[in-house]
Amino acid sequence: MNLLRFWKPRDIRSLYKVFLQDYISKISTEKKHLREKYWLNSEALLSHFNKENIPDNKIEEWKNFKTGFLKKTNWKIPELKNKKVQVDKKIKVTENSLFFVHGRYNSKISKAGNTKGLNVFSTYEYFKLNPSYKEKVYSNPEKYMEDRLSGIGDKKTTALIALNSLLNHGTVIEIEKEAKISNPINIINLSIDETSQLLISPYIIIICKQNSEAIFTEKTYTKNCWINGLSEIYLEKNAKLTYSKFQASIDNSIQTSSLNCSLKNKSNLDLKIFNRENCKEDIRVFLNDEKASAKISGIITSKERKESDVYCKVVHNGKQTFSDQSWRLLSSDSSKTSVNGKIRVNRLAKFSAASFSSKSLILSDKASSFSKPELEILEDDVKCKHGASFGEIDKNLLFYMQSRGIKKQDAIFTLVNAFLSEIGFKKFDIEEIVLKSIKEFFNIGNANE
Amino acid sequence: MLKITNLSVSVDKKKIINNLSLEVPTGKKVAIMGPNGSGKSTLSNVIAGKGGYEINEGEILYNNNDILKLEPEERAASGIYLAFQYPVEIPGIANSSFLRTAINSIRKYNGKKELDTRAFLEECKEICEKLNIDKSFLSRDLNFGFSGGEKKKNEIFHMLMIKPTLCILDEIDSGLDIDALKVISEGITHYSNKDNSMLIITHYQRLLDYVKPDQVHIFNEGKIIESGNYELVKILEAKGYKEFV
Repeated sequence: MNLLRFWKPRDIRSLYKVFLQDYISKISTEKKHLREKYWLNSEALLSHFNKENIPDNKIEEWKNFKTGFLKKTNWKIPELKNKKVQVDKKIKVTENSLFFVHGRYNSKISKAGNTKGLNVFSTYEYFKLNPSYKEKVYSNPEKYMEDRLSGIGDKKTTALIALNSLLNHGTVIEIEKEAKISNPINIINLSIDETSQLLISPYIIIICKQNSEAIFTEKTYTKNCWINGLSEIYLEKNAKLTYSKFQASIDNSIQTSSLNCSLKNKSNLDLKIFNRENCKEDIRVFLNDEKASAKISGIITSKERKESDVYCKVVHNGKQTFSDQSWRLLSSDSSKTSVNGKIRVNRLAKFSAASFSSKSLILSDKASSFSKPELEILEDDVKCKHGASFGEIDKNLLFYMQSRGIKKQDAIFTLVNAFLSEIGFKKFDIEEIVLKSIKEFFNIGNANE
Repeated sequence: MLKITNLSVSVDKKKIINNLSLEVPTGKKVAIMGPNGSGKSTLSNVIAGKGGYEINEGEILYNNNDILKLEPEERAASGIYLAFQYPVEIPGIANSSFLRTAINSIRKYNGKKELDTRAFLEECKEICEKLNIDKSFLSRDLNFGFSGGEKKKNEIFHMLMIKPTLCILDEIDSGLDIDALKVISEGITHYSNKDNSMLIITHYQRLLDYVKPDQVHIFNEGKIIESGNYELVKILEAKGYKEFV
């Protein structure tokens, strides 16, 4: 099915016909849910997407990521029938592995049943049990619109979120109240397609109930797809979550993702991001209540002529809230990496502290990197700081290592590894993925080992 | 072992090494002394293969092979070791891990198997004790947060682990207290034997009092202006460079 080529802006009916109507007609069990998805203002979302279309560089938050490719490609919606899925042996499957195939939760190959305190629901099921969350999750284009300093809300930034929400009703992963799950929970997104270019719309809602603790690692393996993802994370009082999200493989694919986190009293989020070439991550963290805190660290890499872009906004709404953003950017060939880190401290968020830092390493003359820290401080008693630096591989360091017998390429790899490890990814298996991709950069050893 | 013939080197068209000829025979310790800016460090960098220098003429033969076209790592693998005047700091890389990578890289180049981890660590500990270095040296990031003396000790520690055949020590004694100087000098003396050679660049007599060089050259404006044996060091200490330049 050809989607965007035939879709004319403002023609809602045609979109329904080519887009959603076809989609809806293909599903069986979910059909009823969609009809009953009254919490979702689908008319408003559809109208919004028709009006705003796919964002382009006229929107500040998207000016470092080209989207022309998205408009030119004839994306198809994946078949929704449950096909037998074979998981590649290279993908590590642990006890707590939740598989999302083409954006949809696959209970047959997932292994989460035995983990106490971990539950997976469809949104429909979850709202029946927890009606209060119906009001909280994304349902209309105003939910995550950009709150400009001018006071004018900008809904353009949510066009792709609207598209996602229209195509996927979402899956809720809940950590029960008081549950402490020490083993990492692995979310594995599989969107490997050999024949056609698919539009995949994963929508994952993670709810950590009061006093719960959990560690999540989300890995995406994709080929020939456009992943337009939406994730929402809700941390209730005293909840503690470590969430690592990274692109394991991005073979001929593009990713545009929106990750939105809402934190209540004394909750704590430790977010780690690995954003690769052809990926755009839009992160919004709302520290809504007193003493909520978020630490966000990320590695942004790109190669060839591609772009890798992260927009990260932390909004301090509660008193004594804390946030820290730390980014490492690595550009090679003719690529571009970019990070736009915005800190907004709203009125009444007294005694809050926020920081942003980024370091860019540029590996070739044609590569570039862009870092834009922004502070919007509307309260007096706060501490905020920001800093950005850019540089190349230090030739003196390189010579020192070479003079000890280490080959130039290995020395560069080691220096890059040291540069990236400053932000503490070492303890996670993310290291395996990050380093593997960097080895591919430098053509070092056998990256498939 | 090392034979430099008519070597001229310039940086940004400024001549730093000027028609230099120098020989470091196998099993010998050769000292180079000279005032600041005389080209001593340039010479050590050029031998080790650092970029940014223009070789105008001359050759450097190491074991009868011309090394000027070799990469620094190839020179290191063939047995050349440079102890830096200002060792660099690299946060994020553990000292031991760096050293093991270096040793294995050299071994691989020479067609040898990688070093057994246990044997490597045991040897590390043994040499740490000899150099009066705390074992925590091994797990600390490479030279990161090290004092000046610790960095110099680390250079000698690396040298003793890598076991090169030509050791170029570029002002290894600068910034060392008396005790550290003694430890380092003992390390150098202990390592020196009939099969390896030392090119020791220094300003001071005190290191040479311990190490006792076989030959001493006084360097100025990129060339040797005086040569002799250990007695020359004493004369230099007494009269200063003014007597020679």
